[in-house]
Amino acid sequence: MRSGERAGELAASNLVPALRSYGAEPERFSPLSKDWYQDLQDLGIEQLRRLVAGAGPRTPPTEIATERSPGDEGAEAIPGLAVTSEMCQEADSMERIERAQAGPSPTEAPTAPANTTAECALLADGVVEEKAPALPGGAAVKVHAGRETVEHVDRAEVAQLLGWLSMTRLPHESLQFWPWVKVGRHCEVCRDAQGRADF
Amino acid sequence: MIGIQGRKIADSERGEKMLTNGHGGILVAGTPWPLEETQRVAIVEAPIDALSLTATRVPALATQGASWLAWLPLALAFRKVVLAHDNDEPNA
Repeated sequence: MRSGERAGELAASNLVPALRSYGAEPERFSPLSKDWYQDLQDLGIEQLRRLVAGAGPRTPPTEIATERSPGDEGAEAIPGLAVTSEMCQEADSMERIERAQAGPSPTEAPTAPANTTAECALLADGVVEEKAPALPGGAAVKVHAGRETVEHVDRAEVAQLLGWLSMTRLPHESLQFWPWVKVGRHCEVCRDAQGRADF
Repeated sequence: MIGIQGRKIADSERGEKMLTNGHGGILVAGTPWPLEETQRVAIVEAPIDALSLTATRVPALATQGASWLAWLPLALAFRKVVLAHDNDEPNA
């Protein structure tokens, strides 16, 4: 593993081309802590649910982040969550609750992430405009370049292939999709049963 | 059940280490399998992460590690896939 590269990021990046080759639309959405179980323990079910429902991909893999069309120069990717006034209020109230629980301490560290605090300050000053949080699977294709829409032509090609398949004379038994069954094993069975060596 | 996984603390060259052993398959949580109506699914590493995400109403598949089975991309064809892998070093 390269220095500074985490196993999860690497696994996600490796999976992207394979998923795209089958028309899937991958996007990276990493947990805040080391994994989702830790997030659940840290945040609780309600807050984790809000986080998952209201946030878009935060850390796109490097290879995805570099994929941009020539017309996308103006649409700068925003790392991390899109900060809204609601999130700032929530972070502020959480900070106040934790301060109250911990008692007065002049040297306490801020509980909200530094970048969120800075963005909240900019938001309050009107320096930046409020952005709605991007829903996973939303229309933020330009911002989060990890998504790649399946071309209509590709879908049409698959529909055409399925149409041809439906017109062929197939056995009357119902078909079932078993992608995890190795074809080679079937061939060996057929060869043994029918005695053909080159089946 | 289409997969099984266990963990143990074992001796290694650099002292005790947590080892994960599993056999085959993936753990599917929050959705029927094979995926039919489900259009959006998350991929995680550990079964406990899949269950955690399912608690937030997000269907999830656990690959039992950072690697993945060769047939998985085909089974997820044309779907929105959230790559929700861990945010840490392997076996951390």
